Amino acid sequence: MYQNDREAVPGFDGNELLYLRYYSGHFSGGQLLPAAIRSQMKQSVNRGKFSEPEDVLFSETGEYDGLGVVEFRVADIPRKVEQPDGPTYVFFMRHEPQATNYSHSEIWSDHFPPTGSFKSPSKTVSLEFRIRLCRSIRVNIEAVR
Amino acid sequence: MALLASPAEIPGPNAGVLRILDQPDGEITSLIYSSFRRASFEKVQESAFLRNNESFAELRRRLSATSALQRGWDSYDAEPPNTNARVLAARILDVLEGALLSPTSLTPAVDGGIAMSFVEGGHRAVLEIYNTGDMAAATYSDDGEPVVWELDEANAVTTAKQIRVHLAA
Repeated sequence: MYQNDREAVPGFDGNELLYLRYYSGHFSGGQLLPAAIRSQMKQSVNRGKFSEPEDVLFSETGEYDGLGVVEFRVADIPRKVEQPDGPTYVFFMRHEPQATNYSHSEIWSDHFPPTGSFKSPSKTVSLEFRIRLCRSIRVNIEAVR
Repeated sequence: MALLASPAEIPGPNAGVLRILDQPDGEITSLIYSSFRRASFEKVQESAFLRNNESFAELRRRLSATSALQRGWDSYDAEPPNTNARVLAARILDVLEGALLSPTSLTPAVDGGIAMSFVEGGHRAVLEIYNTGDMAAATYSDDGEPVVWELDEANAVTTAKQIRVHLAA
């Protein structure tokens, strides 16, 4: 899991799996709730190319014990969300390795055409994005708390 | 209409359709049926009212419990719901209770705020109340595009109706 001087790998295959921790209260009616996904700031996930699902729950202090892991593919991330009044937003992956977690990555958003920096989506764009993403999310390790 | 008498060889009460002489059968039947229906309806109403009360009492307890959350409560770095979001969420709960529309769940949102979700088979809806004071609502199903709009206190009653219609579709 350690970075060990490895560089970030910018390319993501559409079939690559991404892993995210969740707690049981955020799963209802067989689907992850949009409230479990962050969009106003960058949502952290682990990329499957460099990690296993259970790595998301690893902690020397056991602080993630009982939480679950959901997975989705890079291709499941809605690429573009439009709104009647206001800018269109695009969503994409960034590999942002951390010293203790090389697989750490983030879901970013930007205006379309892209500005090259992170732009928080409007509340309605954010909600639509998260609803569409949640439809594709599957449980890998079920949460018990 | 003749009463059906028990055959003499089989002891027991008469069985069949109640008839009172000189009164139309329809009126008698209606009288008996309407009192039964009224009593049943009152029981159902009372039961639905109590269930609704209990459900909203539990939702308010959950809303109150979010005040104990600390930053990072989601195991990442989420802000806890602030007072602004909790007060707004309490007002939205009042509107929903008046509309007898109980959310399936009430949870903190990782973007900072409170989320209420509704699930009825493959039909879903969500209300999100953010720490900024903004609110958004959406109805969606397993297929098709979600319908998303800005929620405010002025359109909360209309929003509740829209959600009810969507869930019943």
